[in-house]
Amino acid sequence: MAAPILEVEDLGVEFLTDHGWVRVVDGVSFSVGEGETLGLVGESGSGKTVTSLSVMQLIPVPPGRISGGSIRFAGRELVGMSEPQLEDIRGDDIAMVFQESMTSLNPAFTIGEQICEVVRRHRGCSRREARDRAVEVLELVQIPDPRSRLGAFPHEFSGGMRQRAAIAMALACDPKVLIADEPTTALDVTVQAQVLDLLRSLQQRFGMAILFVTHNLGVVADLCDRVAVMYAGRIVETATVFDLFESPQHPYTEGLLQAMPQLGERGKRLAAIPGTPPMPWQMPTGCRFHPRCPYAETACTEQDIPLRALAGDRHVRCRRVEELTLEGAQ
Amino acid sequence: MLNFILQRLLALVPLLFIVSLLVFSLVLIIPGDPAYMLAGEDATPEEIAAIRTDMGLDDPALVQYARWTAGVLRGDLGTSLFSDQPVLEVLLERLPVTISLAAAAIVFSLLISIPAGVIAGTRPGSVADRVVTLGASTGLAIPNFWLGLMLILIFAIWNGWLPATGYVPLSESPAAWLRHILLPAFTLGLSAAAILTRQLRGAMIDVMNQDYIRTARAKGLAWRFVVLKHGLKNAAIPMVTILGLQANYLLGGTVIVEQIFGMPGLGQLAVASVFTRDLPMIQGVVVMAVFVAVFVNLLVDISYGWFNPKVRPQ
Repeated sequence: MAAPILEVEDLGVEFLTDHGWVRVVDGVSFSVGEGETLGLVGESGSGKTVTSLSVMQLIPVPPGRISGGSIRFAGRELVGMSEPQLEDIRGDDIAMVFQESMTSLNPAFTIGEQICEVVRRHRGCSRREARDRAVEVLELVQIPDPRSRLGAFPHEFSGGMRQRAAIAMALACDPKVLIADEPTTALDVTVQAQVLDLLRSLQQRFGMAILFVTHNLGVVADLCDRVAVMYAGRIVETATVFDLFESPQHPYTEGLLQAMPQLGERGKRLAAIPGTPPMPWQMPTGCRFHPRCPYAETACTEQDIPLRALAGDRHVRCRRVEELTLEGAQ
Repeated sequence: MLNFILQRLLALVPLLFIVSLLVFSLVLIIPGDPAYMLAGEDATPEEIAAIRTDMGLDDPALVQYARWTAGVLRGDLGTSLFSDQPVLEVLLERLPVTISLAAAAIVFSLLISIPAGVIAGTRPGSVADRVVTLGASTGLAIPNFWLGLMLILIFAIWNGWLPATGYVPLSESPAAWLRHILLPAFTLGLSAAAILTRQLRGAMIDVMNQDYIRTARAKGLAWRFVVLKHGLKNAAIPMVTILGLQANYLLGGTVIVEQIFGMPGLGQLAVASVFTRDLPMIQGVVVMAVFVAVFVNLLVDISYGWFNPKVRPQ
């Protein structure tokens, strides 16, 4: 792995709910190297979006709070950093692309205005220079005839074009880290592939690190170098994409891989993971996955399982890792 | 845009037709014979009959309507039964008073509701929010005739800071205009301010939870800037609707407020004309009020396009 540009260590995030302070992200650690793409994978409610928003220090406070841990960008601590300093980093060094481009772009302003705004905020340049930069980045994301599209409003774009424009907006200040929170989930499959191709080629060209948040393992296989799998607010396994798909070490990862539809296997039933993820205010004791785990033993229910380092820069949170041989994807 | 305005104007034709029917039918509905009123107590039946013929009151209603409408279209609203002045001339004399009162009331209500609504709507549940919400409820609960009298008592009679009654045209002396308009505008605008504040507060709470606010924050824009640019422009959309409705209520409210503050506006004229059964004048006031209301609604429709590009004509 290249030198880490983004390091998250022992991150804890809590939300105030009817059940009191509930920890939705618990002891999450990962790092993203320069130019690397890390996939953060998990089901809805696993805490992956909260984790990614925490990096930007954008979780709503209240009801949320970062209860502990550290997030470092290029060695600078972001947790507890002053708001003006954070604003200088947001959109400039670390940029974000969100899931729903229809709702994440402001309907009342033109695409051009929304791109120019971030350029002018961080570059302090003139209106004209900002417009030129906006045209440049819209060209990068392959929007045809970008200069005339500056005056278009989000609702005048198709879903795919909107997401491209959102990516253009994120890239406008050459960020070193791009956080993409399910950027293709709301798109048609064909458009999805185009947007992923686009992200890949942009990364090759500009070398930014990408934290790619998704529930879709197929997208991970397509785009990412390494993967961190989250379950119930914790990371249960990290590995390179190849290792993870070939030989998962955590039963949850195995379950996810088995649940993935594969080509050429008509008629075979998809294996679903039985049960549902726990609610954050009633986390199981011991391993949080044990109620759904086919390999669980009594000992798994008793004490917290630490994240253990394995050979080849892998980590897994399972006490039976030596005994089990789990099935990977074909 | 021009097309859009033309379309809107065209859509007004049926509306104005219906209004003209209603306004004209005032003559038929209102008890009492204008000719009798005009002729005076001691007039003989022959004299009254002569006046009736003279005024065309013997013609069939349809003919009378056609004559009246043709007059209105030419800008001839008839002659006052009492002052013998052309109705239009009197109306145009009075209109600036009412317009400046209503406009000042709207400006005042916006000056109150925008900051109050933004402060409350971006910090729901806070002390500031509670103060604003309580203030808005109070503002709504106070009837404007009572408020007007209290303001006159406090500011004019007890302390003599501002004049109690009267009006000075803006063109004559802006300072005197402002001194005269302050209390009536406050009286007239308070309930609008309260309604707009509530509306903006609710819209702001909703808008600040939208994804695009998070996006704007993710771009490194300061919170204050995000609120005032990305938040307010979207939250203003429902507010503009309410403002359009309120503008029409305000025009109605001028009737009372002009009475209280002795302002020579359309509202006062309407009341006076009703008491004297000056039919052409009443009709004229109503026609003028309709035109103003229609014009205000047109402005509201046009401003929608600016706030909400989705409704902008393609």
